[in-house]
Amino acid sequence: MTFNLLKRWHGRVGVLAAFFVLLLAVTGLCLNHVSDWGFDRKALHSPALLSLYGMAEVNDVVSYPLADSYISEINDQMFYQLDEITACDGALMGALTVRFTNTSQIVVACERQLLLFSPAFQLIEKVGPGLGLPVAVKRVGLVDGELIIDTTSGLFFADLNALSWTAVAAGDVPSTVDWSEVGVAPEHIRLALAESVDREDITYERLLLDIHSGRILGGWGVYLVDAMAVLFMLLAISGVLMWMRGKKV
Amino acid sequence: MLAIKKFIILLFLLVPLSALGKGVYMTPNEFLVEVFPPSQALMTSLWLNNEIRASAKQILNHAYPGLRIRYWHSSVEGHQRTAWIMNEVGKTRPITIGISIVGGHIERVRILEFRESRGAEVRMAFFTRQFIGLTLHQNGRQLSDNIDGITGATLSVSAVKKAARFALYLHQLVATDKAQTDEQQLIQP
Repeated sequence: MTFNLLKRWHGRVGVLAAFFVLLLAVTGLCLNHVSDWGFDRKALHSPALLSLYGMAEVNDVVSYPLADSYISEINDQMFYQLDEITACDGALMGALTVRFTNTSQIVVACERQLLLFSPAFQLIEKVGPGLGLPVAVKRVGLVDGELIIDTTSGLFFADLNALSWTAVAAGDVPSTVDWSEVGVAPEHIRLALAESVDREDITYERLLLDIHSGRILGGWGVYLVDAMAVLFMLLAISGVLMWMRGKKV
Repeated sequence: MLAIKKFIILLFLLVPLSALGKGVYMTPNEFLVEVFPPSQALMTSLWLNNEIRASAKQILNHAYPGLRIRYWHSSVEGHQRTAWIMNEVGKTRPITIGISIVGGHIERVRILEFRESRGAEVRMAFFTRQFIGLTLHQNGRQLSDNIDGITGATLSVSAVKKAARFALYLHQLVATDKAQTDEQQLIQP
């Protein structure tokens, strides 16, 4: 009775695991000869495969105008014109210049972080929730030269030097706010940014590794491969048990 | 058969354990509450001049990303107590580290947020308590004692050590008024 049950389950699990055995065997074989067969040098060009890695297209460039220039985001990378700037936590939500008596500072807003730059575009500081920033930032603007941020927690006047966040009461919402609005960067900038991102070398070796480990499907892909590994172990154990039983008969 | 089913379920339940370790262990505010008595912490901005930036590069092995760093401080029995919250990359993602220093000696190290999938053991007390009492050697800006590493967490250990060295260096600067600081703001943790 137990033997028949074991045999039945071994068959079912075996069918389920067969596809993965083949997939892992083929990718494993290729990985074993990755240098011999040139997979570590050959870059992926297929748009379908590159899209699995979030490789960007021109239309994915999000830009906010800043005077005569643009702050852009593509594929989680941030750019001032064509120069990459420091990474920011969350999607780009705006960019503007706050002027003081003697100087000015550039504020680049992302969902969970504000980047503060000098006029020469040197990073002064990253201001996140740890320094009191209310999140998530939806947009930034100016009211009479004062920085105002619109968040999921409400509107706040912000002083990034003193790190003070003054909530705006519902009845005191300014009637005119100069919000930073999404713009469209010139075509040459968008093309250059999309190309610069695409130049990241994703090789066939990377693709093979990610298929082999399941990462091609994201975090859950790894667990799927883990689960398959468990099934393989069960198959090995049940196979040996059945073989031993067969020998006795 | 029931035993096999239970075994399979157990294995599937254990699989997601590898994702443990990531997370927020302490908010900055909770860290400051732990360091300072109520209403005694002042927040100040330290501007990083060329000399400090060069030293930062030497200590961190990369340029510090910014021209200004915030710190919290108070005076305790003639010594200055400072608290620093730093982000230092372990392998690919930043680890948020809180460090408090009194009189040039590390008082506590806390991992506030860990974002990578490996190396989260650095948050544990058996590792962080090794830093208590350490100071900087005058030459080379190294820690005054060895820190035992953790197998499999080499880069995270290195990140915490670098942050500790940098915090000690900055503490020396602000304690001896060798650095330009901005307005002070009373913070009530």
